[in-house]
Parts: sequence; C-alpha cells; structure tokens
Amino acid sequence: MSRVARRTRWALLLGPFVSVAILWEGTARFELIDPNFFPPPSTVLSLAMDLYLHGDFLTHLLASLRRITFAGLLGGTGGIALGTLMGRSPRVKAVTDPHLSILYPLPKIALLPIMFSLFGVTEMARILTMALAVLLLVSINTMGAVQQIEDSHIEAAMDNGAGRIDLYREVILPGTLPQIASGLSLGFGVAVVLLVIIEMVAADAGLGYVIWTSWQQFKIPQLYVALFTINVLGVVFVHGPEEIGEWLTPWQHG
Amino acid sequence: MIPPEGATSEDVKTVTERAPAKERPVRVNVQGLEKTYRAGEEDVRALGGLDLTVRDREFFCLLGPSGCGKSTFLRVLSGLLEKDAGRIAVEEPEANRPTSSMVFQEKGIFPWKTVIENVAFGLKMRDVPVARRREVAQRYIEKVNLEGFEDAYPHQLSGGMKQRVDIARAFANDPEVLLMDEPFGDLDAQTKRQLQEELVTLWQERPKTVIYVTHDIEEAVRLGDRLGVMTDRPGRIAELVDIDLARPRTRDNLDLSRMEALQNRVWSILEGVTQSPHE
Ligand SMILES: Nc1ncnc2c1ncn2[C@@H]1O[C@H](COP(=O)(O)OP(=O)(O)OP(=O)(O)O)[C@@H](O)[C@H]1O
Ligand SMILES: [Mg+2]
Repeated sequence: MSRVARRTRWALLLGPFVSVAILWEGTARFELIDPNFFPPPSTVLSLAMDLYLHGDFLTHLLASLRRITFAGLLGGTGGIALGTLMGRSPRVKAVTDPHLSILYPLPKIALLPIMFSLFGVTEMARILTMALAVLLLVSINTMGAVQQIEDSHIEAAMDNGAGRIDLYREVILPGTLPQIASGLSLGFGVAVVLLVIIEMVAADAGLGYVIWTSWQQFKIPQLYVALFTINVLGVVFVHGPEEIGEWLTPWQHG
Repeated sequence: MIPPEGATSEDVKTVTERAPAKERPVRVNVQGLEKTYRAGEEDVRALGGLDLTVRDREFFCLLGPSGCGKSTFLRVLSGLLEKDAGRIAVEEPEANRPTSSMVFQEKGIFPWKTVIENVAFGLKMRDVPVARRREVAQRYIEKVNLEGFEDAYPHQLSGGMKQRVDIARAFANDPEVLLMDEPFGDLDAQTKRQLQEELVTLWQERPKTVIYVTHDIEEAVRLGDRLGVMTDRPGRIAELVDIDLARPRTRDNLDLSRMEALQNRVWSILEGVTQSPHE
C-alpha cells in the first residue's frame, strides 16, 4: 500500500470517533439522552485534560501500558520462537500441538487464579496470563507460515551456501513476517480484553480498574475518559503490528 | 567485451579456441549413483546406478521420462540430497568459488529480496564484501538485460525476467558446474527461445560446465554439446548423443536437416525407454 493510501486509512480511522462525538454532543446538549449517563464529549474532554494533568490518570495509563507491553514482548518473542520450532521440526510439533489445542479454546482469564497461586498476587501473574494469550496466537500463526515456506526457497538458499543461521535470517524470518505481524495483532486484541478484565477484578491500578470503580462510584464522565483511553490503546496495539509489518515487508505491495 | 574477473577461473580468450570436447579434462564424474527415497511404507528408487562423465565447459543436456530421477540427480550432485551409494567426483574449484550452482524451474529467487539482492545472494553467503558483490551482481544484471530493475521485487517481474534473475545469480556465483533444472519449462515459446539465446551467449562469454535438464527435445538439441537420455525410474543413462551442430546456432547458420535428424533420433530413444505406453 502506498504512503498516501496508508495515511488516508489512518485519517479515516478517526471517522468513528468524530461522528460519534458529534451525534453524542448534540443529543446530550438537547437532553435527548440522559446526560447523567451519557455526558457530552466536551465535558468528558475537559475532564480528561484535568484528570491527566492534575489527577492520577497518567499513573493508571502507565500501569496498563506496562502490562500490555511486557505481555506483548514476552508472548511475542516466545510465540515466534515456539512457532518457528514447531514449523521446522515435526517432532517438536507432535509434542506441543496437543498442548496448544487444549489451551487454545480455554479462556485465559480462567487461569488467573492459578497464576496467582503460582506467582502470588503479583504483576508477574497478571502479565503472564496475558502473555500466554499472545503466545498462543503468535505461535500458531508463525508455525503455519513457517510450514508454508516454499521448499525451493530453502533449497535455493542452501545451494547458495546459506548456513543454519542464514537460513533463518534470510529465508524463514522474512518469509513469515506478514503472518507474525497478524498473529501479534490478533494476540494484542485478546490481550487488551484480558487487561481490562484483570484490572477490573484483580488490580488496584490501570484503566480497567478506573472503569469499574468509576461505575461503582457513579463517576460517569471519568468512566468515559478511561473507556476512550482504552479504545485508543486498543487501536494502537491491534493495528500497530499490522502497520509495522507492512512497513517491514515492502515486497508485498507497491 | 567484459573485463575478466579476478575471481574467475576462465580466461576470456580461450572461449574462441575451444578444444575438441573429448580432449578437455573431466569436470564431473559420476559412477554407480544410487538414491532411494524412503517415504513412509514405500521406498521409491529414483536413481539406479547412474554413470556419467561431463567434461570441462561442456553443455550437457539431460532428457528422460517424467519422474525418472532427473531432478533427484541434480539435487544429489549439488549436495542438497545425500546419495545412498556410488561415487561423485566434481572438480574442486579454487578459493571462494562454489562447486555448483543451481537454477530452478520456478520459485528459485526470493520474493522478499530485490533483483540485485537476489543476484548477490550467493556472494553474500560467501562473505564477499558489499561493494564487490554489488559490482559483480550489477554486471550480471546487465548481462541478462535487467538494467533498471535492480531494485524491483520479483512480484513486479514477468516469469521470464524472474528466470533471468536466477540465471544471473548462478553466473555471479561463478561455480565450477552450473546445474539447471528445466529453467525455462514454465515459459511461453517466444520467451523461452529468447532466454535460450541469452543463456548461450552468456555461457560462451563465461564458459562453464553445464548440466541442463529439460523435457524439450528441440531445446536439448539446440543448446547442448551432448545429451543423455535417461531410462524410466530407477534412472540411469540409457544413451548418449553427440550434438554435432556448429555454433553459433543462429537461424542462418543452423543445419536444420541435421537438427531434425538428431531430434528424431532422440525421440526414438525416448520412446524406447518409456516402457508403459499409457504414460
Ligand atoms: N522427496 C521425495 N520423497 C519421495 N519420493 C520422491 C521425492 N522426490 C521425488 N520423489 C520420487 O522420485 C522419483 C524421481 O523424482 P524426480 O523429481 O527426480 O523426477 P524428474 O525426472 O525430475 O521428474 P520430472 O521430469 O517430472 O521433473 C519420482 O517417482 C518421484 O515421485
Ligand atoms: Mg524434475
């Protein structure tokens, strides 16, 4: 995709935010909807400024950011490594595949208590729960991509004198990059969901925590500030890997 | 004329004074080559005692029924596959040149590398310095008429252009032996003819021992100094044919009746080795 087209796509991504904001502002101003539950965006926006500049929102944002970043790094690198191994070695695949097949449909949030019993009620346990979700999606995607690498490309590399490491660097990694990126994107999608749930039920900081406590204390405008922030976070982490993937694979387009 | 390369074993002058084939030194000597694939329950004996001698700078074409083991033979020769038994002796080249380079029928070049990166790949794997390998790659890109496409990716190229990239890479490697597995098998007749001519020109400028696998009798006779017809699987050489057509084999220089006679001869050999008529 060309640079212009990409920029347009990002601009269009603002469309939903703008259109919802206009509609909402109008209906809230004219009290077509209950402003106690649906405060107009202008109110939310000025509150957001206030909460980020003077309140503790930055702390909550950073707590969430840290969790999802570490989970992505751990799950991503682990998933790429495991997926590559599984794709290259039928023996590794034979052993690990059943494990993944059973873990895959299990909602990872159900493992949170287990993680807490293993690691205590710690950040480690929260991050690992999310990382597991990323790892599963990335490894499955990577494995598929590695298996789809053309034999002739492997043969051509070896015939030209490529060693083991060259083979990974020159053939397998570039050949699987697009699917690794989409695996990361899917993984982050699940990780954001987990993040919010974990923070709602078992954390005392983070955007999910803010959403839930705001609801309980009936601080509706504050709830929307957190919701909007989570939305932006989700967009960045879900679409980011795809964008980076496209940027890293110029041979796929143009 | 192209300046002779430092790393090249070939002296450009010797091109014109090709010694008679039979006196040139042996480059490839294969004796009793055996290869059996073990795929699950059933074993597939692909090569059954193949003997072959190819001499220096000889353009040797290999024909044979489908599935008789031609690709297997090239893969064993190149070292991509292990042989089960037999002897392979390929003249070892001097410093930093590969023994062989393969040109594939399709999907031999990497979609994620540009034309110049593809052509320079073998040099990169042999740790040739960047500047030097770009220079060599550029030279061969020009020789296969791909100037201007250095930074294009393969998906922007036609099938014929992709094969040119593969050929340029093989020549840039400057191997002792060039192995080609139906390199033009997927191309239309016109493109194929054009690439054949380019290949022969390149080969005459940078003479190499070539083993060229093809299904196309006309192509084998047009290109080769000599050809071998393989038996059905398990493959061996059934018969060798000298192609005594003078070069250059341009349209006005080609002895068409002799060529036709040779083609007919190969045709009947092939008919003889193909046992099952329903194939
Ligand atoms: N990896 C493999 N595993 C099992 N059998 C194989 C394998 N590769 C090739 N064979 C079998 O070995 C025989 C020889 O195959 P090969 O590819 O060398 O034939 P070929 O002469 O190149 O055929 P074609 O003219 O169709 O390209 C065939 O019967 C084929 O089915
Ligand atoms: Mg073949």
